[in-house]
Amino acid sequence: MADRESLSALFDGETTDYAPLLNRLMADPDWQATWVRYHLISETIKNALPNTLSTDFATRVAAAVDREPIPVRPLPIRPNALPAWYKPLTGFALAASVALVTIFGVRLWHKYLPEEPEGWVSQAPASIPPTALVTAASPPRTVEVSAVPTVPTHSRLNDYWINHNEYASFNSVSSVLPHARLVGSQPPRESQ
Amino acid sequence: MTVPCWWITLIVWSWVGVAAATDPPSGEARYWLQRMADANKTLDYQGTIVYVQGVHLEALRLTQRVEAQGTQQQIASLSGPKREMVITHSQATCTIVEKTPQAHCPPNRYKRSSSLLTGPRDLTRLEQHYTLRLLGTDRVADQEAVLIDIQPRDKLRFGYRLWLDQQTGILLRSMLLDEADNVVEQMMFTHLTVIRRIAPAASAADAPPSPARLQSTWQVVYLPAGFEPVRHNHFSVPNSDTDTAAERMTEHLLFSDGLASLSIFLERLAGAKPFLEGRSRMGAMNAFGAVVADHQVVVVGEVPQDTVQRIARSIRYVDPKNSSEDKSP
Repeated sequence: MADRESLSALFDGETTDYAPLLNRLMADPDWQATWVRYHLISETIKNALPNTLSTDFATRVAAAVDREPIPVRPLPIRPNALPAWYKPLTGFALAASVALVTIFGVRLWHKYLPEEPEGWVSQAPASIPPTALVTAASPPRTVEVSAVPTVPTHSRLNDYWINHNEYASFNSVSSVLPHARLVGSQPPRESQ
Repeated sequence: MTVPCWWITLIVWSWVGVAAATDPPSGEARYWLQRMADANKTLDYQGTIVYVQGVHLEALRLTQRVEAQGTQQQIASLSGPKREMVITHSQATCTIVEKTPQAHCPPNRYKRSSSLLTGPRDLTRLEQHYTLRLLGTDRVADQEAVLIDIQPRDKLRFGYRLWLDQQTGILLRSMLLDEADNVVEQMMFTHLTVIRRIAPAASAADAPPSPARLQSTWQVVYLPAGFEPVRHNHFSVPNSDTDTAAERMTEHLLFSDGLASLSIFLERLAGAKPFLEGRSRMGAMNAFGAVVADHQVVVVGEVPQDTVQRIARSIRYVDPKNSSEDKSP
């Protein structure tokens, strides 16, 4: 019971002595399973679970990486657009992101093998008004999309997602491990 | 010749004033962010990282070495098939140490970006859009750390918390916070060993910036303040939606405010159906798709949903011939 209370405290961020708990979490399959259940419960309460889970996510990620685009017309950029202090983050972010999508993303896919289409959760456009700066005569049309997006939708989004993270990881503190978000948002099969 | 004492005093105080202006005091978050930048160029270290995002939990071993050509990093998996990634100043290489059916590495085609960075004055620019605060001290990986809180000044971007090693400036832990202050993802060292300190050397990244301008036939009417173009590519990929060998050409614009980044992808439909009209989400990433001038427009970024939506709705095609908007290219 005390064990579970420690894990619960870790999950809720209510402990400061997290290092030994994380070490155990990394090593203890029971804790890992409980960790997953906690997240599923949390996501269910928040109604944040995706409608469906992935079948060929990692395969498509790998295929997209294989098709990694080669810039054909690089255009001038603003070298002063980004501050110097986050250069270490950019290097680290790249390293981590590349590693995660390859070392972990694919591995997790093979490990979990969810059976349903995956993780991008599409919704109809929100009803917030367009910005006042938008003044064009023919605004882009927006229509409702299915709550369960089509596979091509996922495929294209994943293509874009990989491209974004490949480059964004150079200059984004939030992209410490950007590719890992792709797999991190998907509950493992064992929890189904 | 006798130099008046008051003149010497004035010179000394002027020098002190200049030094103070370029080197923030240690009680300011900016000082520590600069320390973090320096750590990447002056320290060899090795450590174990834990990454947590939702149910996803992984451990990595990170090794950094500073060499004459630049910083080299090596990341190795600590569970599952043994794989490692080596990132140099010019490329990243994935190696499968232990071949298993699950092991996989992508082609070695990752290329490092050219330097996009400049000096401390950009920290001031960053502070126009984020509030930087030094929250105090904490302990991470058995190291004393300073805790920095980075809160956006608007609702258009996410917030961050960074734990930096007091001794070295190394980023020991990071959090990404969404607009409701929920933790979206975390990274943390559980063990860290500094191997060597190296005297800082000037690099290309420290060179003064030269002004440049994004050139595109697309106009992004609405972009949150502070986001600047940092990348502009055109690329083609096989059309996975058909069995033909046809390729689709995509234009990619990348913007960053120094912390967050967002991408705009533009792809001609040419009669094909758009694959995304509306919003989509994965983890901390939000996306919004729209159709503009017979193009599929998708905005993706680690920013709130409303931000990508507003941007997507503001994008216009500008005909280079007559400069009229919203005509099919």
